[in-house]
Amino acid sequence: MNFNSEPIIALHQVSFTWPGSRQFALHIDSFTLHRGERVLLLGQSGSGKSTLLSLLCGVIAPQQGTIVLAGTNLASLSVTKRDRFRAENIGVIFQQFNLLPYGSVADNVLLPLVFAPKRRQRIQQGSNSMAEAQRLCVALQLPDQILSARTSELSVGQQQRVAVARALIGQPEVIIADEPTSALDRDSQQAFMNLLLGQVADSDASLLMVSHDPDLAHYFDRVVRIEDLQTVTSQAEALC
Amino acid sequence: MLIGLAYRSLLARKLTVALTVLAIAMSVALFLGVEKVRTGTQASFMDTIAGTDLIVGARTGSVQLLLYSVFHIGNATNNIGWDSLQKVSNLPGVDWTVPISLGDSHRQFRVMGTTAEFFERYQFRRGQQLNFAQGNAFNDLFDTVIGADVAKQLGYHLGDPIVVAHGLMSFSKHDEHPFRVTGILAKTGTPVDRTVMVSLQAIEAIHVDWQQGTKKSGESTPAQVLREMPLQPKTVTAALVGTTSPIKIFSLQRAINNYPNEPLQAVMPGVALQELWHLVGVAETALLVISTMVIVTALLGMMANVFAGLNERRREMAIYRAMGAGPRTIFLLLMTETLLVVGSGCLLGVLMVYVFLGLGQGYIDQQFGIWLELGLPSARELQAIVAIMVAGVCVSVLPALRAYRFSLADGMMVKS
Repeated sequence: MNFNSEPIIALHQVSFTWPGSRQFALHIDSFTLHRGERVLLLGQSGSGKSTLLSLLCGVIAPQQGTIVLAGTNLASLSVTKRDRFRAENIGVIFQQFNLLPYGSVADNVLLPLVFAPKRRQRIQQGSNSMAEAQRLCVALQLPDQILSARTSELSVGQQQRVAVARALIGQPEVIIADEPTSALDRDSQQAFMNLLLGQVADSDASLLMVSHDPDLAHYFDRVVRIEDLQTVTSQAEALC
Repeated sequence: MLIGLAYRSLLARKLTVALTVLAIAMSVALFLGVEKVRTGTQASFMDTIAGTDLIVGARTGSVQLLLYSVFHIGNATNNIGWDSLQKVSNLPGVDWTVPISLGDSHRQFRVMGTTAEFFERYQFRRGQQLNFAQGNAFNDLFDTVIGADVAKQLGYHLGDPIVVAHGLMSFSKHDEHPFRVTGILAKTGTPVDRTVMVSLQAIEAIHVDWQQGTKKSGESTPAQVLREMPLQPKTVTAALVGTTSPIKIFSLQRAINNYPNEPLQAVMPGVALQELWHLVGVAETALLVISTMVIVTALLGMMANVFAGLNERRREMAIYRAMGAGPRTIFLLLMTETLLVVGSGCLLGVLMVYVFLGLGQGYIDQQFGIWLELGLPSARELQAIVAIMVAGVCVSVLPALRAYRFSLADGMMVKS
């Protein structure tokens, strides 16, 4: 696949240190994710993957450098606007699925639309929110009538697919997945990856998935090791 | 939007939330209940006597005159002469007078000499008149009418004999002239319930053989002889006065207070009742302070609950953050939850009060003579509910701020 189009995510000279932390600092010279591209970001525990995802989502802001997402420099946005921007443009799949324990599957799938009017509008141009949730659940091979089920009644695999539906609803431009396969066995992992990639492709989204499992590499257009981005230095190294 | 999220989040913790709502509801119900009892008691107290424009007695304090003549508490400093009372009765503007004579007792209840007109003129609680539950007013010299509490506590029925004791704490009894119960009044919630009423002439009759508080030696005057004796009293303790027109009250009061032949005093019952209520207002304030403290305790308990649950909810906050909720939204979500809890508590508390009042109104009236109005919440009660809501919002600010800080620090990456 040729990705000469404009990048959907571009990081340049980004540095971040958690306030009060003397042990950890993240520095990335450059990183780019193109529109429609599927990238696997490999890294071990403590390598800074979660911090990088928080930076990309605009939940935290770097002390130095620029992060441009869908043509917008996140640093130029206020905290409130960054939150809204995240809601409108990014779908997040957590490592531990993180479905709200209360409420139904429908409540969870439709949750991003509460904070993202544009995603809601996108759906309402051709359908309605509930129908779109139903369509995604069917596409992800979830059982009929699951929208009214409580999340606590679902299997692990079903919970993970509900988390994917929640990330995809309203067609955000970027899907960020934080080790979504870590709780699945090999067979379930394969089935899940096929479903995820199929739906990401259907919605024309870009995918950045973080994992420590190199066996997933063949699903992606590109694999980036977080260490290769010159990402983590200890404070002691930084001072040397 | 936030209300829906807050509602579902509360539902997920329904046991804790239900207990918190119940605690707030109980405290609100207590507060409003105290307020209802306070206003009901005040209204019942102010309605102890109605339809009487002036109470006339010997010159003393207005509260003291009210206490001994209406509430039968304490003793008169002096009596007023029968002649003076006749002069008062003949003053222009006076419609009627009902004399009362106090001094004797029956067990722990006061005996009051009066005329049969008392049963027509005495009014209470918005102009209600005395009703006979059984029997009728006195016809014979030794007939007596008793109040509802006297009948209930002493188990008296029509026809039962009553022996009057001399004075209030005396062991000397007028046992040579027992009375017969001819009437039992319906419950009024006023001091009348605790009174034994006899005719003025009967009071004179039982004291014919007495001198300066002791019984004369020798045989008692037979009842039949007493019935034929002229028994007009020389003095009475006080008198209830009705006027022909309310505009006459002040001029009559002035005229009586300036009566030249005897030091008399006329007080308006409403004014004196108001003065007396102010004296007991300290207890009212104490009740309000206690119920306010109960509310404060419930709200602090709610705050402690929210604080205790915050750590467990960091993942939930992180999900909201990932979906695009800002820290401010998290703050508002917590505030909304608290408002829903406090609002539900207030609503349930109000309902509890009204259900309790609806079921117990009649019983409370019968047992305690306090009529608790079942109307819409008063302005003061509504203010109290609003104040509780505002206080609830205030105490929820701290945990909401903590959640705000958590959401800033955790972002969307809490792992537990």
